[in-house]
Amino acid sequence: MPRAAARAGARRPSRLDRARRWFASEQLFALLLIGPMLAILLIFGAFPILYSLVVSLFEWKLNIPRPPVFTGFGNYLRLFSDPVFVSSLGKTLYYSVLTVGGTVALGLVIALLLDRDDIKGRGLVLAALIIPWAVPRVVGGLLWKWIYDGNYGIFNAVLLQLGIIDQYQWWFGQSPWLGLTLVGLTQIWRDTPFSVMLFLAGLQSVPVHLHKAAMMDGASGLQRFRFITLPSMRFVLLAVVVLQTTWALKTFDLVYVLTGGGPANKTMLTYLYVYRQAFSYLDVGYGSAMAYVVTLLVFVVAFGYYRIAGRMG
Amino acid sequence: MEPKLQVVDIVKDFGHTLAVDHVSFDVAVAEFVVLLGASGSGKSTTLNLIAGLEEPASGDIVLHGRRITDVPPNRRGMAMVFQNYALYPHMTVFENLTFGLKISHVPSDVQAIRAERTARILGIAPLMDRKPGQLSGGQQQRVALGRAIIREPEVFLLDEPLSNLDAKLRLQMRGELKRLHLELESTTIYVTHDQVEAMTLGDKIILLRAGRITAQGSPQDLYDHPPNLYTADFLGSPPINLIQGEFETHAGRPGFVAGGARFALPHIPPGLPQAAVIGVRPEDVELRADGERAPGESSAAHTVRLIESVGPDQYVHIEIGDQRILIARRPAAERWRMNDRVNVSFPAGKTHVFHSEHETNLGTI
Amino acid sequence: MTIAVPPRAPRRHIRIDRLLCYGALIGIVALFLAPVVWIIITSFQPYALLTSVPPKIDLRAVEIQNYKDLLGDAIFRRAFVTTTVVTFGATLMVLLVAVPAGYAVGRLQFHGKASYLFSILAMQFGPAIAFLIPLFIMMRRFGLVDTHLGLMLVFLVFVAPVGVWLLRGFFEVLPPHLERAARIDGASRFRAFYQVILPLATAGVWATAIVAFIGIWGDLLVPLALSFSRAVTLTVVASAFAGEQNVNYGGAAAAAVLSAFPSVLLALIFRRYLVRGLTEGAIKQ
Repeated sequence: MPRAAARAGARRPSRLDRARRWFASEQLFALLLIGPMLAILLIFGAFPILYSLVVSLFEWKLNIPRPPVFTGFGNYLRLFSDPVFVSSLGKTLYYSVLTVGGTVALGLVIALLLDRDDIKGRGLVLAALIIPWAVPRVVGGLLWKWIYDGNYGIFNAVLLQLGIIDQYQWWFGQSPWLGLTLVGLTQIWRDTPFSVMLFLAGLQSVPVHLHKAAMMDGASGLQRFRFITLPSMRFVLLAVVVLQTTWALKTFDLVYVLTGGGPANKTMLTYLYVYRQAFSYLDVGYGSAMAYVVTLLVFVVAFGYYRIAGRMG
Repeated sequence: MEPKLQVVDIVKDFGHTLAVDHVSFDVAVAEFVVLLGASGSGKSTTLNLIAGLEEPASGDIVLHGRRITDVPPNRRGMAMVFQNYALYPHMTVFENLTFGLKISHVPSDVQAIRAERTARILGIAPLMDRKPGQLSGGQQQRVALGRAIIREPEVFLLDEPLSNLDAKLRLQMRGELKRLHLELESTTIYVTHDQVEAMTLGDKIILLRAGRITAQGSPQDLYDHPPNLYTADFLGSPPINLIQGEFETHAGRPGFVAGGARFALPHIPPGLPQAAVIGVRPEDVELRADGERAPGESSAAHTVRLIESVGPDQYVHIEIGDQRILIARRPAAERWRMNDRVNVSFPAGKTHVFHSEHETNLGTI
Repeated sequence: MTIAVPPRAPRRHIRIDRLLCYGALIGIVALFLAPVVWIIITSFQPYALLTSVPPKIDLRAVEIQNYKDLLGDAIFRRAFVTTTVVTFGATLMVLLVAVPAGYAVGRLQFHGKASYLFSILAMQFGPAIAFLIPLFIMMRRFGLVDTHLGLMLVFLVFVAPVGVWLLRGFFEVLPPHLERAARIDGASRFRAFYQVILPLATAGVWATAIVAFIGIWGDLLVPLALSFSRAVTLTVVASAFAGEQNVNYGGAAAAAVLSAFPSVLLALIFRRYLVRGLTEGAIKQ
């Protein structure tokens, strides 16, 4: 501002003034408030993630009393010749598609049923649906393990009654896809209520006057769904898909309890495999390398969706 | 007498734009100063700078001769009424009123007495136990005023306090604000974009444009002698008629020619540039039916295009060539009809002449 | 299925598809609750009935032996105490950190806000295991592995960003200028925050607390990775039942019921806050 200097009486704040102002400023206050969170982010977030990058470059096993050996990208190279890891990626992909598709489709259907204004007892249904969601995942896994059980499970009993099978089955001992599908059903059971809640909130935020206008324009129920409801809900839909995808990629508890990745690594999902390497075999170097790949995967997915959201406006 | 509050050459920039650009003015004790301007003119920012809610890049705020630029807002002893009232939703009216007193450790019995007195002045005594959500817009407005009054502040700051009220209530509250000001003899700075509010309330109007003061003075003075074209245009409703054209003396008769129309003038003062903008207030435009033309009047008759009746007056829209419209404010008793042919004249001493580029007022004819 | 829209179609149609709708909803609720009901029943049945083929239920044979066995088990009792202490402690810590931070990002302007928000979001999306490995190595050095404090700190790291994100939404929607009014009334910045803004955001604080509580109570990965004896939680104990060769289903069922109970109970009591918290946190992204 050259004009400021030219004018007489334009008092520029001194350094002392500026320091005093800074101490009274919103900036400092905000910094104090976010301070603890910021410290946590740096100490327990940024530092560990960088540290694990270092760890991933070493052959580093905690169960062997031997100092870590630098191997460069050895761990990363080992990943791609590890058949369990490579096949776990494909299985994780299948599992994600299944559970995301299931929770979104089922969640949308239930939300649409609940959104009708001629329905009573919506609160009751929602309360009932919250129960599976509030049950810890491990417990959900135990529940379904009992249901799927090969000796005494009610799943077998029902299918036998219906004549679909002629003898009790060990469901998880068969094809990996069948096993993963059953794990996926459990996750759908547990996570669909969350989708319902979000979808219902989304549906209720669709302006009623839009529907009225569309009706005056002669749109049928299905057309209104297609041209009014869906577009108005696109962000909610995206949010649900993003969250469910990242949860699917990070599936641990359910598969840990239901199959443990077995038999013979048949149902090994990537996340569980990382855990096994790092915390069962204490091979933290290899585990870190793998964790980095999973992180990358999650962020690629999140970023991809973010781009889609950006294009939607 | 020393002014109570001085704003000294303050500058505030938000990134690239200068919101307030070297603004200085004084406020005397018990004076009612109106900061008037269109949106984006920097009037609210100026108020926030005075309150201490924003910090100036340079310049000072001086209260009673003491520099308070670096005093935080909670220690400036000012009170403010916000456009959206900003009442505390979780507190009752009583708690809203006394919150400031509580903070400054006023004893609770004194709080109660002052709250009661304030409520009586504003007629909100029966509402003391309600929460803001249970009040009408007008009632909320009164509570917001009460919250300011109760603290007996050095300076009252009001940021468009009436803009959320409906027309009738606004008129009523405007009167009440004036009454309160006179009663409490409060020093007040009032921000508005409404020139009627500014004219009716202010002892002094400071008109801001793009962060700078473009005019300041008493309302009547600014209305009668606007220092520039912007001021002339901003004050008054319907707005002043502005006509761009050239002075010309034809056959010994002085006049002003604009796009084919010619307006007779009593004389052309010496020293004016040939091209200029003239401004005439609608109430100063005189009309006569074509045919009863007096000597020296407008040479051509014009056509009445529209008549808006506003009770005691009527706004007569007259086409003056090139589809430009001139508005005359005439008593309702005069019988004008659409498509009448009329002659327009401007009485002596009522025509403002503005420089066509600098827009400064060059005098009146 | 008919698509639900607010305006109603003619009466006669409604009857039928309303019935269908109710039918569908009842079926869905039954399907979602069946596993829960089944495990509760199982937990009260003697071993002999559990192992019958096909499965049998005998309401006269209801007994609480499974619970007695479970509560007689010192490991289970200790895990219950650990889980309670860690969950309450970590939830409190999350609130202490996330409430001020959420307020700052929700209502204050400061340099670096965008990158701060981004790192919080990244922390939320980042897979826990990637952080757990280095944290594990760090904690071993400081003797925090297999301790309550260690678990609480790690939960704080994972849950606080969620809390900040959630609270931000609750603070943002409050009317503007409230702090300004408070400042003019003589309040300091801090006072404006805790006396004017915070009381208005209690719903957000409860929502954050309940979301954090349920998340921490039910987490398996963290305690499984970081605890082995002293700080073992209920989820770890429950998961151990699944690892056995011949699962003791009666015990497993009782353990499942008891470890789910506090979480489910709180979710039902604070249902309104929970739903608001979840929807607000998710949709705001």
